[in-house]
Amino acid sequence: MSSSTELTEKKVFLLKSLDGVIFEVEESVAVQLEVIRELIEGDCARPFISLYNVTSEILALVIEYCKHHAETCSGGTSATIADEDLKTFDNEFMNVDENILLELCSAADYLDIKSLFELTCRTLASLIKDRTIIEVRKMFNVENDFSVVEEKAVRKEFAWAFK
Amino acid sequence: MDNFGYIPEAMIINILLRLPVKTLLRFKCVCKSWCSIITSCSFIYEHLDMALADSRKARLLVMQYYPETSDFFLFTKDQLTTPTHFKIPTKSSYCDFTIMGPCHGLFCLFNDVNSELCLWNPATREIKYIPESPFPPPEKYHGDEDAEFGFGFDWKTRDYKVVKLLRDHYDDREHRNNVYQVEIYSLSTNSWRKIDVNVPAHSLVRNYAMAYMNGTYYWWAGTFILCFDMSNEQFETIQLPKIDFPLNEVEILGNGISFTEYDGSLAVIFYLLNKCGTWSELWTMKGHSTAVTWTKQFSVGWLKGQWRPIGSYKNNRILFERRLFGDNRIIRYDHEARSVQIDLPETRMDGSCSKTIAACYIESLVSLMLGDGWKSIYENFKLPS
Repeated sequence: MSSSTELTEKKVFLLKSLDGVIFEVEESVAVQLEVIRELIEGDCARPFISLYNVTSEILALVIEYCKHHAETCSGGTSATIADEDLKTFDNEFMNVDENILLELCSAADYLDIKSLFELTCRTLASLIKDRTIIEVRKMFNVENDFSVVEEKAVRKEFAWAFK
Repeated sequence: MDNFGYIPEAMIINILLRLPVKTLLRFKCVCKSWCSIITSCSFIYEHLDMALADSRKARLLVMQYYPETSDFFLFTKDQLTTPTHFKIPTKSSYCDFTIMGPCHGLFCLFNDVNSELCLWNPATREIKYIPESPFPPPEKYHGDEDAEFGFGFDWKTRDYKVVKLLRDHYDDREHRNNVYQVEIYSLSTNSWRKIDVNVPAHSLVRNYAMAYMNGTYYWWAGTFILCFDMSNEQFETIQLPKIDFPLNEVEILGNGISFTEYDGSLAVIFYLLNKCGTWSELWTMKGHSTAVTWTKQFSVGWLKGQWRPIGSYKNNRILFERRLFGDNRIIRYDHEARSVQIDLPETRMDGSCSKTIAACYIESLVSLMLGDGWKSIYENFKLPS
């Protein structure tokens, strides 16, 4: 098969981010987003899809992730080599600022990309495992709604876990 | 975090599900909604389910227990040098615990000295004493030192159960006429009931080899294994294979078996001690009851000295224990490398250590204070068996 015929046969989708940036992706990449795969299977996919919850910065990363996974899985390499390659890629891919990680996790949830969701959840979990309560509240932007007395009581019950 | 204020709860839950128990207990202080997520039954069981599915989370647990002080030391594979120390609160000054479990990270302890029975989750440090059975024992029952216990999970009713076998003693020397009264305690009702069931065993090798695995409790009973299905509450027996030990024509000092886990199923380590040393074989079991087939995986021999196998992990590593006055040691045999390694630090490995248990352990948040409503709320929730 020559590359020119291959190009014309490939279906392309245009994904528009929250801030209006348009990304062109091939079908093999787009189907990794479960939300889009469902549209395609239901024959409801238009070539132009707006993603209202994802910024261009995050969408670029998501596409990079899906592209690499699509290429590695369709390539002629053996399963074990592909596995190793993906592991290395995933590790490097997770080496980003923690706010980006949170946004990637949220985007993976919204776009329904199971492997990326699992990867980001796992990475975030190991990141916060040893953090203090105050650090965790700050990172997840949660307000302490316990009264002083209530918090003391919860802390007292498992005082040993704070050591 | 200018452009990222709101984090959906599903995402928070999925991150929390991947955290260890100790961190989760701490994170109950973050805010009210985190606290209610972490204490909810659905979260507790999803967390357990995830840990059971992820074999990387299964750790080797070595538990040592000192009867004079009721001290427990738990060594887990990732921190063999710094064991976690527990003291079990008990009314008696001296304890002789029978240890059952783990099952979903829980243990059941029976104190032979004063018949106290309790459930224990070392990861949350929760302990629950089980009320005494209200039923009068059989006429010729000698006392609880004659009782057998089992502990496990009934996946059909999603309940933790303790089964107690009370032997009605007869003077028949071969115990051929032994009959048992069987009582069951269930955690969800916090009460005992008697069941009418036949126990197809005459005498059990008390406190020696027993194990819980996948909904069934197993006891060693000589040439066979007695098993109790935690769901249908029936006993069955499994014939043990005949082992041809290389005898070396040397006087036998002892033999026995030890239960362990291999590929998620029950396996048995047979061992023989003589003056040459220790010979042991690991056998796996497939099928149920009368249709069981046994397969020998590998043998270890001869190890110099008298070593009792206490468990195995990762399918090819066996832990052996040796007790000589004041010199208790544990070694690890790696079948892949065909080598013996000293595994545990010798901290407190003195003569007063009474029991060592090695098991595959997954820590859990499972609470022993489950109220009456917990079962109905999560009736449809998928639970691990």
